[in-house]
Amino acid sequence: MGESFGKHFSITEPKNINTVIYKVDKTEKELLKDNPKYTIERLDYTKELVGNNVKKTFYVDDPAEDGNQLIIFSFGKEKVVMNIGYLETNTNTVKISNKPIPMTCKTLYNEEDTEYREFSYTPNLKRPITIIDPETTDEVKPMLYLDKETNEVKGKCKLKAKKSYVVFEIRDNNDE
Amino acid sequence: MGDLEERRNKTEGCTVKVVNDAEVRKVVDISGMVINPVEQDRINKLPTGRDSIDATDAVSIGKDGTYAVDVHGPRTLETTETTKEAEAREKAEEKRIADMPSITEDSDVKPSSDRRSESEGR
Repeated sequence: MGESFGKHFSITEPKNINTVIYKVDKTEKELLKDNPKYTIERLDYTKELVGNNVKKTFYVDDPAEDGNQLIIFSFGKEKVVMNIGYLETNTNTVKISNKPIPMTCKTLYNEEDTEYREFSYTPNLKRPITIIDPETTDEVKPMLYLDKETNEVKGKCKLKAKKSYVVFEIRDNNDE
Repeated sequence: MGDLEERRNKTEGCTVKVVNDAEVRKVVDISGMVINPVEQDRINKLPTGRDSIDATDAVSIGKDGTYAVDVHGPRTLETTETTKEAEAREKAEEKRIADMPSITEDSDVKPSSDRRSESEGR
């Protein structure tokens, strides 16, 4: 068997745009029982200046043989755009859709004006949801705890009121 | 930078192509949303007759928790908008989409002899 190569690809970012890319992995059949069908991984990258622009090179260390779905976030000053893409491993091609994915907007009502607010967020292993702080582009990680009443492991995300977060969820195309 | 070049050399370069949506393979359904923990009265800033924003809306995030909503696509709102207003709005929407950040197509697929001549940093 030949040596398996990782892949890399580059994107030149427009000014004031911060690009974040996730790779979607399909869980192997043997592990499906206790694991989500799909998992996501944020791609590592390196940056270099090319003229006045930033060129980001993203790395996919373990691409799937039949390729990987990609989710591309472009964070602007006060805007975020989400595009879908696909890494075609066999042809060394990354295709990105020119049509952004529509995003819904959901408000979480806060009757009190508090700086910090904890919202219950249960990471359902079958429906992974990721929360991103658009200002830093970092993920908001849930703190896991054991709910003694239900005997379930649940997660809590600490979110600030009056601040927006980007949330995305992936589901199997065959669901619903 | 040495690390950059080393990492590039250990991985295969791929060509990036921005293509029509139909040409991109989709194995998962992705839904995105902006959540905004705000007070109840913020919801009153939405377009009249709406208390939520559906998937056809594009959302701009405001740092102070407010947001601007560009409603586009097939109209499901009850609106008294005239045809001229609708046309003007659609033209503005086309411009907004055209002004969206675009991704430059780059190709990292180069003959091995050219790899080392890649920009050596800043």
